[in-house]
Amino acid sequence: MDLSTWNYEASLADFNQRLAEVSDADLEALRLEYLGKKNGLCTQLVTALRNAPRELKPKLGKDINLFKKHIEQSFKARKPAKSAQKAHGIDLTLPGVRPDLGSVHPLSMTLDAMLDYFSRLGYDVADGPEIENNFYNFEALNTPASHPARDDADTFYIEDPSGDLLLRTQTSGTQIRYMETHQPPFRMVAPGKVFRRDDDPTHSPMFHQLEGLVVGEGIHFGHLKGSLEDFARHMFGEKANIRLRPSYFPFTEPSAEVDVSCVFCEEGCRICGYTTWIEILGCGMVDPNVFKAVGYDPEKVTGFAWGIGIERVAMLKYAIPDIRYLYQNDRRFLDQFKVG
Amino acid sequence: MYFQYEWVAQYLENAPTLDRMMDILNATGLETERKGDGLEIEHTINRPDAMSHYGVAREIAVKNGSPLREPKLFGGDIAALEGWTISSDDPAMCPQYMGLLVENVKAEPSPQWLVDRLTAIEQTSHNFLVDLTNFLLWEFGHPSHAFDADKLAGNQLRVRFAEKGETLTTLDGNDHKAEGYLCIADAERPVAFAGVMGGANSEVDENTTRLLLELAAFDPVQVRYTGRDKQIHSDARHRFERGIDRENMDRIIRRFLHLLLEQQPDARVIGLLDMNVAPFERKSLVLRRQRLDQLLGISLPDEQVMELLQRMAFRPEKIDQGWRVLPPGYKVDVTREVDVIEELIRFAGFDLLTSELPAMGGSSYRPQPLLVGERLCRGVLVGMGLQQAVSFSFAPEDAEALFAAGGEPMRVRNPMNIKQAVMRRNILPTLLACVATNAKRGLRRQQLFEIGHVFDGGREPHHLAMVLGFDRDRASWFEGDQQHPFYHIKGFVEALAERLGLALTFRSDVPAWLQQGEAVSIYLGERLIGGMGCVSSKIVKFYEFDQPLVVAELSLDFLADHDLPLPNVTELSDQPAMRQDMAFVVDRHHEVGAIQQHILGLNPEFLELLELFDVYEGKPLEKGKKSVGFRFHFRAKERTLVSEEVAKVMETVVESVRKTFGAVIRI
Repeated sequence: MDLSTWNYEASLADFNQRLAEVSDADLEALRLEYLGKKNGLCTQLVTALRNAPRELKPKLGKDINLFKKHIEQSFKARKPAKSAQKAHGIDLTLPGVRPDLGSVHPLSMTLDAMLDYFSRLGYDVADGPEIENNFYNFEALNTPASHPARDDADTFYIEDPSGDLLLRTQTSGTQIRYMETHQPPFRMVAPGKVFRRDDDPTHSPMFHQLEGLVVGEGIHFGHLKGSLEDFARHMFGEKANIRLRPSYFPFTEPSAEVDVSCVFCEEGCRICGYTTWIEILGCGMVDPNVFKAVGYDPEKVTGFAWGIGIERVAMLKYAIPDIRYLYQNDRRFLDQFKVG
Repeated sequence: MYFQYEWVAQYLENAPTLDRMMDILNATGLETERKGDGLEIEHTINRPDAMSHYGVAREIAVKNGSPLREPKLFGGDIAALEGWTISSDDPAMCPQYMGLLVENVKAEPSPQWLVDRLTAIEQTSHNFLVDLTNFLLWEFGHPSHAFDADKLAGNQLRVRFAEKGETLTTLDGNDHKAEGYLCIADAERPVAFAGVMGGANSEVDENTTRLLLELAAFDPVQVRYTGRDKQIHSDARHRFERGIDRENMDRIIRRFLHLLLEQQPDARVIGLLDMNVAPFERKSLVLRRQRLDQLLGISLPDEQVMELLQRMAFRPEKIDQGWRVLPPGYKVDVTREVDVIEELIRFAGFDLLTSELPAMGGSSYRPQPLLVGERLCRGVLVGMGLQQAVSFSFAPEDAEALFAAGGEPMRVRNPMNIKQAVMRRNILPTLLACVATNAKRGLRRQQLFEIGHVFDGGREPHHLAMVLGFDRDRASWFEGDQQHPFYHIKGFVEALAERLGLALTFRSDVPAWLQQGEAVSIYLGERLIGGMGCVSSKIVKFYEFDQPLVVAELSLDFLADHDLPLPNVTELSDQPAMRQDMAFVVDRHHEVGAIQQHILGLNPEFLELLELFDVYEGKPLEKGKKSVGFRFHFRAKERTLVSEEVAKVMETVVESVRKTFGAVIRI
């Protein structure tokens, strides 16, 4: 072996070409030619290095070492393939081994968007019991015994000797509890499940609400209007407008229904019933009787309250065709909320 | 409620078009849709004043400031009715009862104009006398009733509660026990449920010649009570429940006579008996300027307020503070100052109001640990690939009972169906029903969780439930994991516990809903907070599960007073670590957890981390033995460990494990 004619780059290129061309059958022969212990090229090179001129030794030694390593690695990578797949490494088109994507329920997604908005504005968030009594669900909310909302037709009652327990029909009871333990001024929202005897594609016997309450001196109807306008823009986009129509709720006066301009159209569509408006929530100035029930002076403080159905917003936002989808937890439905 | 356009329009000068009418009504708070040649109005509970054609017209007239065209009335004298008595046991139940006796009437077919009116609003024509009362109900919103006077015993009517044993067959043919309900009775028996429906025993028929017309006021609560219990949803009940216009009663009597005599000029008006034990008086209210501005946030000009109040027929009078008003009888819901303000803004329109945000200093937000903790749990579980579910709070009784440790759930008195009969004490009964439905639809692989209230006596604990459903048959190449499902659910619970900073312990004695030996109870300190693992075979059978399935359910109430962990960074050693693997062969009944706890209990010096890397049974081990492999990570804080130090520590550990568990080192 004459090291004076040996060249690292050329030798390496030569090897690479031969390796690329060699068949599996001749692979072992090629390996022996380069890496054979007795007569392999690498062994010959190392032997020859001993007799090389002293001043060339460091560079040659380095080259030979690199050369040998490269060849070893190359053979390691190129083992005779048992299948076509292995001959070409891996199938890059197979799906990756991936962890599952979880999903947040659309009702939570919708509620979170609302709660994030209100808590950032400084609203407190309160939770209350879903089984309420007549006082918190009706009487403190200025709903007299003669009010038809108290008919069995709307309210679920609980079997108990007192006859006083029911499934709350609104989260307003939480607001009463809140007022009993807090003094104005304050802003708060109460999310939660509510129950009404109703069952069709747009009504469910159990659904979710978010109710808001702002109480303080000098709070007036313009504040209610402005607050809801800002909220609507947060939920439905900067272009959203709201419209108030007079309405009636036992616990607010004056009361209004709020429509938001249809987010799907400008000229009217199926979703807005060709009116360009979508009814979205109810609101009003807190009735003085409600303040009296919790010991506030209605001459001194005023306030506004509103309530919004989470299902309705979620159904609009995600084009959910049937309210029952929301409680069936069909995996195909939930999978669609891995995004969002 | 449907109203004919033409009928409404007849009370209006320059009546607006149907579409315009619809817009006006919507703007005043009567939710109105156009339906054919008329208006479909969905009234809020406080609007009995607009449950008639005249009332709807009046609403439009007030809004537009245009005059009403009043219907024609009988202008002659009406004698007082002699020889009859009308009484009310309790003036609160029936403050006023007008009885009008007319003879020589005929229950003949109605004239065409009347048939047309009634047909237009989908009412059936019966005979002229009955149709007239129906017409008046739809004209003015005040129900009246026609008795055949010959069928009333003793020339008397008494409004009283029915007594024991009394019955009444109503006009719809249904028999009712009447005891305890407010009735109209003649000298012998009840002849009508007050304000709800008349009785068949005193009904007008083709032979009727003497008619006694009832026009009365009844207590709305009693009307509702009777109607609800007897399940009668009549037009009369609907209006009496909400309130009628006491000021309009004379006019209705005269309107009735006008229409009757127009058709039957030979009818003889015998007389009217007006029992009025609590005469109606308008309530005087003060509307303060300061209060009006305080609530609305704008200052409506005096002239505008005055004009609106006049249009609304509130008889306003300007006083120093503002105005004194006397709301009319048809505004039954205007009894307070705030009601007057609502009426004003209703007609003035919300568009006048400003739109501003309240300026309040500081924030009211005080994070609730339970709510914050729940949201954290949700984030962790979703991050680990679970999907959030929401299922019903009510459950079928049989399913619910499977998960409870005895006791009784709260029951719904009036459920819509049997599947919603009781309030769940656990989330799993309803969540697993969803899982079962999914499985039946071929969606066997599921990773669900739900967080929500459950109901336990008077308490409402917040629970978290998780379900992992596996599909071992799945024809997908990457489902290589064949660990027992228990370890999967345990992994989720352990990871959650780490994130929440909880030192949970698990015990093998489990409640009946879990499968002994394949499940554990979950303790937080000494407090039992839940369980996890395989559900009992009874539950598997109940839901017809045919796939591997594990669950967990735990109470989250501890979050209310639990401090979530904060990172507390310790100094990091840059000294190299030493690693030593060691496999112990022990009898298979020894639990790995016990060995691990034992080693950690020895508190081996320099030990930074103890990892379990292998549990193995089978050849070449003897039968009944298993090998448990641990990887010990050692590190000293400030210097490099030498192998002798580690060997010394390992020796102590090995010796102790050998003594305690009879372990042999596997080489």
